[in-house]
Amino acid sequence: MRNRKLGFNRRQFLKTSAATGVLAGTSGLYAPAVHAATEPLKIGSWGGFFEEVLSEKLYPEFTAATGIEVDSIGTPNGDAQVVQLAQAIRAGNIPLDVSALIPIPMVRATNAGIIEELDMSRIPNAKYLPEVQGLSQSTDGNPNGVAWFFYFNILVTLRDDFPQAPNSWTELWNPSNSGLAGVMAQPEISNIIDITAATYFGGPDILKTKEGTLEVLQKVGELKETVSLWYRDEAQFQNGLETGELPIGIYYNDVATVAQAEGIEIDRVFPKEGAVKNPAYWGISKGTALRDQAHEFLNFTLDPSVQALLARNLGGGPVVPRETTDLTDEEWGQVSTDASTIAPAYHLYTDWGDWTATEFSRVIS
Amino acid sequence: MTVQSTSVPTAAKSSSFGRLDSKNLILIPPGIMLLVFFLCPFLIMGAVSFYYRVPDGFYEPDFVLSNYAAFFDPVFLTALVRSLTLCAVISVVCVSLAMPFTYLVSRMRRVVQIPIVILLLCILTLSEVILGFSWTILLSRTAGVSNILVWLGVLDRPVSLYPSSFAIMIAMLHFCFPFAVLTIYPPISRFDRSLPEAAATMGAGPVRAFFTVVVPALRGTIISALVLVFVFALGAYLFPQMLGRPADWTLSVLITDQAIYKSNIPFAAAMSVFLCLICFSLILGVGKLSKKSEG
Repeated sequence: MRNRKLGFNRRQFLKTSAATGVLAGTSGLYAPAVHAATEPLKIGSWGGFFEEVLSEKLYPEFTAATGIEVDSIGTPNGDAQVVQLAQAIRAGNIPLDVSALIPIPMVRATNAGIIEELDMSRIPNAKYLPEVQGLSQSTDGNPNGVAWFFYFNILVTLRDDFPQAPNSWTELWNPSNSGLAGVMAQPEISNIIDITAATYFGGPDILKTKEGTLEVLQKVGELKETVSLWYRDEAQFQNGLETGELPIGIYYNDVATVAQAEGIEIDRVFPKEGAVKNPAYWGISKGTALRDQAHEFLNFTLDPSVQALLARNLGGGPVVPRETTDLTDEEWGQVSTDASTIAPAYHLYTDWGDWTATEFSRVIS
Repeated sequence: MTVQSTSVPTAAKSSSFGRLDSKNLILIPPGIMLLVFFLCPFLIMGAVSFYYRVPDGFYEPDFVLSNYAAFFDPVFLTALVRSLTLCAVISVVCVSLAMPFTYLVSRMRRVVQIPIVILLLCILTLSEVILGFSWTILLSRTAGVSNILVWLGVLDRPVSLYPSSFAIMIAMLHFCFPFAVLTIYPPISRFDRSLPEAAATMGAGPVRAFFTVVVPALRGTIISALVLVFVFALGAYLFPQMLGRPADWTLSVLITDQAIYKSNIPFAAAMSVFLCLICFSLILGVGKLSKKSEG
């Protein structure tokens, strides 16, 4: 209900912010610590929407503030991204100085030894980062990545079928929703195991052992009754929402916001047990010649004014405290939450990744 | 025989390879194609299936059997049995439908035959994705065929007919049917009409003549159509994923998951090698069987 008066969508964000010159103001406040190099800084982000928005909105601001030119490069998301980067770096090329990486690829990239440890004294804005999920760590425990936005897995429901939006993940198990739900097919993407642990087992502690995880997986297996579509592609679920075939499911908050703006009558629910919160990190490639400029870029993106810019244009949740930004209540409510959230137990998808995948397949099939 | 007599002897002489005449020369491009695009990737896949999977990472060249060992988990064995069963059922149903259909079409006038063949070719132009999405709509609760059944008074309220193995079956039949027809069509249209006519003069009805004369005479064609549809269906992974529950997912779906989402390429390769070997042995077995029955 709280979203019925949704003011504008992403495209309109772009237009309004450009027209009012909100973005132009950000660079004036920022004092660079490093001077421009002769070569541009090569920054990789996921091709498509992300790369377009960053190269249109973020990088020009960065160049204006620091004089450092940016070469924007689209990358795949997930493992393919790390494979390409690792092969190039091992072959002696550094195709990217900075890469956007979500947690599991970040762990793989760290283990592949292609991510530089950070010099935190050069990222003073890191003081705004939260203690939990703010930094990624190298194998030695030193920081090697900074979160630059958070993304949330939430519950979405169609208003026609759920006039009163539910407030709990338990709705996914509700027998009255038999055959009506859509959930991502990969457990590391849906984080359904973490959701189940938070909803029925009092939190992530039970996931510390494989025995405990198996117990949680039994509960996940009960979703066989209600989940009709285990989707690998967002379009599959969006299609289900649009046709009314799948009126409930797990979706990304930012994509759901766009779906709402496109006129699909859904409620975005941050359940009482917590929405799943995942960070997107920046990582610096090992051996880059532009180490200083890369640190400068990381620091720039953590500036509260830049965080507000990213929230307005990308729909990602800011990594800095709400009061440091000029986001309105409505804007904040679209991209983030003040309620407690679920931090995924990443060891399930990294150290135990193959085991978890097989056991997950076992319980849902 | 006539082909051999037309080959030019001088060409064979000029070649350093005695048997490399113009007829064999033409085999070189497809041979290279097969080598580069089929054999090499297959060998690479075979090699990778023995590589060591680095937990949390990718893979390293090695010789380990753990990827094959991992396959002997009930999750994957069940998927294998399910895949083979599904494809066997699809190929039998598909060919059983295609055989009489093609036979009847081949006996029609040319004006009628051509549009039918064109229609079948049109199905081939549609990709698996488009067919899959179309079936999700046709079988859906909100817009699908069950609404017609409600309108006719057969059902009380519309129901969703997918995800189910029935939905996968329907979509796969739709996808494979043109291939079966196009395999059977040439031999059936060349088929000697005097055979069923002779059967008719001896008192067999059209249905009896079809089963006692036409089907046995085209045994080889039927077997090759069965094998073709079977192998073709084995490779499909979008339909089971879009129209089935996890309990209906075939081995192809699990291979894709391992390769794309878990970056466990060695395990995906091991499963693929396994699937290929089973496929090869089935084809060899069927080939032997059909030769035996002919002899």
